[in-house]
Amino acid sequence: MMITLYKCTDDNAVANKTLSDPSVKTVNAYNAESILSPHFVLAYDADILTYNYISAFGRFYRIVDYVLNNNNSITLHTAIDVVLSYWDSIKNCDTTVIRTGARPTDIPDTKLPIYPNDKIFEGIRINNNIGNPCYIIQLRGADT
Amino acid sequence: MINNLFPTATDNDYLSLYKAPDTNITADISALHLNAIPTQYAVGYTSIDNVPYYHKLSTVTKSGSVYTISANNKIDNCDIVYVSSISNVSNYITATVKNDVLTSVKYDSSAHPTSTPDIRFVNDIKVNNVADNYANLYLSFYGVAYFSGSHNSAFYGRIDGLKNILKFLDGEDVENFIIARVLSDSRTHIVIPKINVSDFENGVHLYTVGANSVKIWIAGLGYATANMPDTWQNKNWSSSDYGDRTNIKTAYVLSTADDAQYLSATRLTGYPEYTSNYTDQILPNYIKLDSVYNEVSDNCIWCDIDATIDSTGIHSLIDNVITGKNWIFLNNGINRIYYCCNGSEIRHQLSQTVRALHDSAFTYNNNPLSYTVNDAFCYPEVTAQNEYTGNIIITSDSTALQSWQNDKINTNDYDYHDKPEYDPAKKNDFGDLISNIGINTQTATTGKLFKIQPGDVYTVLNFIGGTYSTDLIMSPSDGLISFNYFPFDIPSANVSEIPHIGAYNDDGTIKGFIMPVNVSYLRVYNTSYMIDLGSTIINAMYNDFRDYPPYTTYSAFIPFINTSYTIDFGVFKNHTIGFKLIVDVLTGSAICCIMRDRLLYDTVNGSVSTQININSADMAQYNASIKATENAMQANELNMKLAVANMITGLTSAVTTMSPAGVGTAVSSVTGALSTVAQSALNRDMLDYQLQTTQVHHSTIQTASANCGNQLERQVHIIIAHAKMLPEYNAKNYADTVGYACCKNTTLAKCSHFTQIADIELEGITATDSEKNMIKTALINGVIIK
Repeated sequence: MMITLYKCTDDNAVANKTLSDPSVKTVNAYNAESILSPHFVLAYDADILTYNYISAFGRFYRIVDYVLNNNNSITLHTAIDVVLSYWDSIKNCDTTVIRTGARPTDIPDTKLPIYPNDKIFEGIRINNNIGNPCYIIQLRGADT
Repeated sequence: MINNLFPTATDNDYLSLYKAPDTNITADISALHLNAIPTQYAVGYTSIDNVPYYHKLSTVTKSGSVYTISANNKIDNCDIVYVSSISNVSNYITATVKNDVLTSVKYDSSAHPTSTPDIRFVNDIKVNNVADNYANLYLSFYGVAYFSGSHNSAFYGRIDGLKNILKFLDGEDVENFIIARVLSDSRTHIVIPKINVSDFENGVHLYTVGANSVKIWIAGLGYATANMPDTWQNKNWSSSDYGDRTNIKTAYVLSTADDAQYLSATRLTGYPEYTSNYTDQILPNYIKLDSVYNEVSDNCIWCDIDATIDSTGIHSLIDNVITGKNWIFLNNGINRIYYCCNGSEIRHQLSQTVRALHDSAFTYNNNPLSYTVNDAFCYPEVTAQNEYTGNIIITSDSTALQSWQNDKINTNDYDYHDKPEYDPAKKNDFGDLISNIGINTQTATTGKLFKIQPGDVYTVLNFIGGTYSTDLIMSPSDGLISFNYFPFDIPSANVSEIPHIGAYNDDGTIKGFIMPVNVSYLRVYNTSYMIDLGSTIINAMYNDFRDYPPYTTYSAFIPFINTSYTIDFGVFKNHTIGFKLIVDVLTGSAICCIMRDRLLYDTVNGSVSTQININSADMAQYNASIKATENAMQANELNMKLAVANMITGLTSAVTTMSPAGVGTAVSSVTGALSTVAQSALNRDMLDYQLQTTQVHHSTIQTASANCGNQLERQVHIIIAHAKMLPEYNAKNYADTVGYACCKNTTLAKCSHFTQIADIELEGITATDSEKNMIKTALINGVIIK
């Protein structure tokens, strides 16, 4: 069967990874095994070792290990990247997000590195026009 | 050097403006009728001008009618030079600087005073990169000048290009802008001319709305010779060449007799007096005033045009608008435009007419969220018939659009729009309240109130404290009902009336006493008054949770009442907090009304006066008590001396005899002497106490807090303790690796950086059960979305 090898420089935690340099290869299944972590056997080629992602079965897999066989073949140990595999669908699903974005929100974030006690003090003096002090005298029976 | 900074016109129909000096500026500003300018006076002013860092004093020296503004005191870094025939700009233009970032500039036309002239400079308002986007618009707001009535004003702004404050459409920095004086019958106007530093090709962009005739004077700034432009892209504006008025540095005058006219002046050619150093390549192309927003997001601060600037045409956008439902009403009456910034949504509504006039005024980009204003606001001719027809509503969210349509209000009032139950028909409920409580017309019926100045108090006290028996009364103090010191002015009549106490004889002579005639007695007619302690806008610093308690706390020191008032930031965020004292003149009690915009939000009670109780009995008692106390103290001092002498004598006797009995006698004598000393000391303390209380009786302090409070600051102080970030904090790294807490019901397509979910509804995905579980687990643990 055919698989496509890719190169990926993104962190494993990246959901929407960028894959490059696709290379189609003919492989054999290693054994009866789960689609979540299949092994593929293909003819050895040193260039294969520069790839770290593959696509097969409509899914994307990280290459977690290469095993060099003594018959001049190589076995790829893989693990499915489910988020990347289904990203186009996942990204449009309704979800409740609890952390995201480029800046804090109005939701208190106890992880944010805020000084526990130190503060930035600001003073705003509101000027007024209340005039000068005066005395008020109240006189009984006063006439003028 | 520009001489004759202000022309010597005999009329007041001129404008005056000048360039911030590289060298000293000498100017004759006597024509502004600034009859009370001190000989040396300049103030670097911000709303936190008590912070020395922002004080860069410059000087204005006067020689005859010529004033020289020194160039060596940071004038060349001056952001705003404001010259006006008004005295107190403290509430007129306020700038708020936080951490070297200009965060707001408030122009409060309502605080426009009317009395003594003044010159002030706003120096060194720092703007750094963080605030550039905001500053664009703030500085645009600088360019809005407000002139009213008969005031002669010039408003000049110089912007350092390095600060990247304001750019024109062609990308050039604004070097100068000039606000010319505007004369009209009664209306207020806004003018934003802008002039490129190198030439005048940018023309002038003017607009005014008013029912009355308008004239706008524009001067040539010394860049070009000034001729009357021969082409105007005007609409019903007429212009006149005043080039022959060589004594008046006025290039030309624009005028209109019509309401709501829009003007684009494209040529500002040379004026003969300015021909020497500059070219006059003034091109007949019209380039619009421009402000650029970048990265407008849910923390964007938007404009909040002061409602009192209600008849103006050109507005720059930005000031404070709350995240949420924020509506900005630009023009009263039929001219209106609304803007809204709600979360990440940017929405605005323009009238169809506006759209027709300026169909490219705004450019909106959804990703990244940005909003570019290609033109100044200038939207006349919106009528009641078309104001809601064909609106441009920009939103990427149909739900938000529906919300927008539901939320829009049909009132010209912009207050309380965030109240879901707000009823425009009741919009005056709060506004009228303050005017009602501010006008208590209850007249004092138990006596007459007079205001006397502190310098006259001694004379009055001496007279009242005396005993001058007449046929009617024994002492002037019999006629005294109350005597209060107030730490501020109480409104009164302007003309002194000498009061007398007592009735008249049959022949018309006075039976009682005439108060000292060398004192000014200004009649106070009402028993309560409202004293405005001022207001300010409570701005957010971070525009997120850090602005709220317990991370940031806000308090206000209220003078006179001497109370610290805790400000609820959630209530006052981006709203004006005002403090108004309702003062009872008779008792000195007061209520401080805490205003949220025009809403009376809270009150604080207290006492603001120091009441001085004096009558004849008090005076007699006072005098007698003082005398008696002094006599008693003298006697006690004598007793103490005798007791000490006895004690020493007893000790001497005991030492001499050296007999047990003698020792015992001596000890007994010493004990008795010590007892006498102690008693004498006790008596002395008591007498001290009596003396003190007697003294206090003469000048009774009604409440210690008011008396002490009157010695403190006379201004309201807002004290804000902002949250402080650890120095290692890096916002981008934090966003990429930890992410920011939020609670959004959305899709991951609208998220970025490190993103973590509470749960997701995986609909329409043909993954296996195991895969779906893995997807949820991965997203709950968090992923990075590029």
